[in-house]
Amino acid sequence: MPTRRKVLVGAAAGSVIGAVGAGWLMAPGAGRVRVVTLAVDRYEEKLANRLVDGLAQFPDTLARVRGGRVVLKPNLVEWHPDRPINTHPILVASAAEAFRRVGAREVWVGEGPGHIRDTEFLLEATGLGEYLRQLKLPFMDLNIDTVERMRLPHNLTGLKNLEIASTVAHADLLVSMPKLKTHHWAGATLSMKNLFGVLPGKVYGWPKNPLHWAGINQSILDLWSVLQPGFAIVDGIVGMEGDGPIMGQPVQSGVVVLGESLSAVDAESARLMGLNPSKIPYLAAAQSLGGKILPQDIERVGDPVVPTQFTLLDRWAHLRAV
Amino acid sequence: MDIKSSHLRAVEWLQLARNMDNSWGYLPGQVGDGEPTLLACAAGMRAPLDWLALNELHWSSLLLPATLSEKRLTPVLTEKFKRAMVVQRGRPMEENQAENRLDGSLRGWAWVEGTFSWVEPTAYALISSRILGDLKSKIVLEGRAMLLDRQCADGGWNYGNKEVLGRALGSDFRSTAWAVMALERSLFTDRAMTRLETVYRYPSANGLALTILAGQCHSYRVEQGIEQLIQWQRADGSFSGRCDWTALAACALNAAQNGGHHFANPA
Repeated sequence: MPTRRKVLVGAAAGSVIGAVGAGWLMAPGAGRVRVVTLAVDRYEEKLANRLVDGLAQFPDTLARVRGGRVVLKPNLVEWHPDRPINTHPILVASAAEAFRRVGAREVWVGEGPGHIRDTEFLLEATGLGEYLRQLKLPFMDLNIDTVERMRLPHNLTGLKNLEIASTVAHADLLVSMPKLKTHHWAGATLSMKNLFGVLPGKVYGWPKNPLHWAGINQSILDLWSVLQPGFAIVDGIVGMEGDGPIMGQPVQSGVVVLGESLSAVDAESARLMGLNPSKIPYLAAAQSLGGKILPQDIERVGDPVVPTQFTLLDRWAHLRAV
Repeated sequence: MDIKSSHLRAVEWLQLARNMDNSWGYLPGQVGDGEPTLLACAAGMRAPLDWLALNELHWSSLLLPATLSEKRLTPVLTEKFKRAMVVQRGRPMEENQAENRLDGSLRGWAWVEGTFSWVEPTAYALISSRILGDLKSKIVLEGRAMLLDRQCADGGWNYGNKEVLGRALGSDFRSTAWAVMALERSLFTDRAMTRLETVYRYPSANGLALTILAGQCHSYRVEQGIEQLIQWQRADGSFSGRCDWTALAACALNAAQNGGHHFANPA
């Protein structure tokens, strides 16, 4: 089993390996993980059809979904009328509809925002609450959920266990649905970082400060390790660049990215932001834990999408793909 | 519906949501947690003294004197609070916080032992200390200074910082309401209440209840909030089906009828 030190050393080495190049639309091959990109220029109801087509590329996930309980975990942080901080409600609603169509017995939406304790306010202000009512989707505020203690296979944080929201721990499939955003502390926030929201605030506080003390990158990796397998659907139709995750600017990036391997989805999403995923510390470290991030390990299918060069804070300029 | 009827229905709902062990979870049927149980006590429910004594309350221990009347605060629970005041104190920040324009050396209280100070747990600790008559101990003065240091440019409070990387953060009503309840009137301006009153445009059960409670603390007019809060009540008597929020709403409605509440600042 990799030790905490080995993983971090591996992460540093990964930044050298990472300058391999984009490798768009490679041919399918053995041992690769599949990532689907959908070119989508606006939020509209027919998105569910596109997502059903995308899900068809993942037979293992479809088998888990049929008759099972799916939990969609969007990224709800704060609300601002002019900033695309949160996963768009139409994409969440479309994903719920798509999973119902492919045979899910139940679809839930759950989130434990790291800043705002009033989820009712967030749901109403973002418009997600209206979609939940229309589609009769149950919502669980993961910050106040009962908890399940889960042992950490790699224990990179040194916390040994994490208390995970029961709604997530008992799901047949957890779907991480982040916004495509830059992040002032982590470089980029994608499906792996989005997992912070499954940790109840009643245990970890607001924000979830013990995870920052244990190391943001280590926490992301421990969460990712304990919650595998899962699924990711990234909302990159309108992303956020600059001083994300809250104070950045909207950017029309026109893409939805989905897949079973969260590391691969995040790596491809980073490339679509003009970033080198091997320079993002937690993605580079994920590689040494078996995560796929290199182009030769990822089979990208779906629509060809041209990367959008997201603006970065100066402190993250080194993440730029060459 | 009038205030009295609304209050009665909220209290009845809380009674039905009580667990067999006399605690409350955040949602009916959940295993008990410290915060919803203590807020239910503040709303007038019978306090499960044994449950409170036997269970680990973590950060919600800071609410013990703030939510229990003096005669319900047993010596065991008083000791529990005193211990929390020590072990839940936030760590000072080691790094220079000049870029975030805050004094990282000032310590309030943390959600989790061994981590930084945040606005809400600091407010809980200050309200409880005041109820116990402690207005001037060193840690209380420092906690108050920490709260004032973290005040946002818009007059309210965010959950912790007022700026990140040189950019001002907007305040959050929940943190603002608790900070306002924790501070004497002379220590904040009307802008804090003006910020809170934006809740009337973007209402939620929790937002309305806390805004009313904060206003009641300092004799602001809260009729508009009360009217909206009553409209927000569900047919079953709850506020959004949550024990903690229903308890806070019941506190606000009770204070609107009878004046004063557990978190109120003495004149």
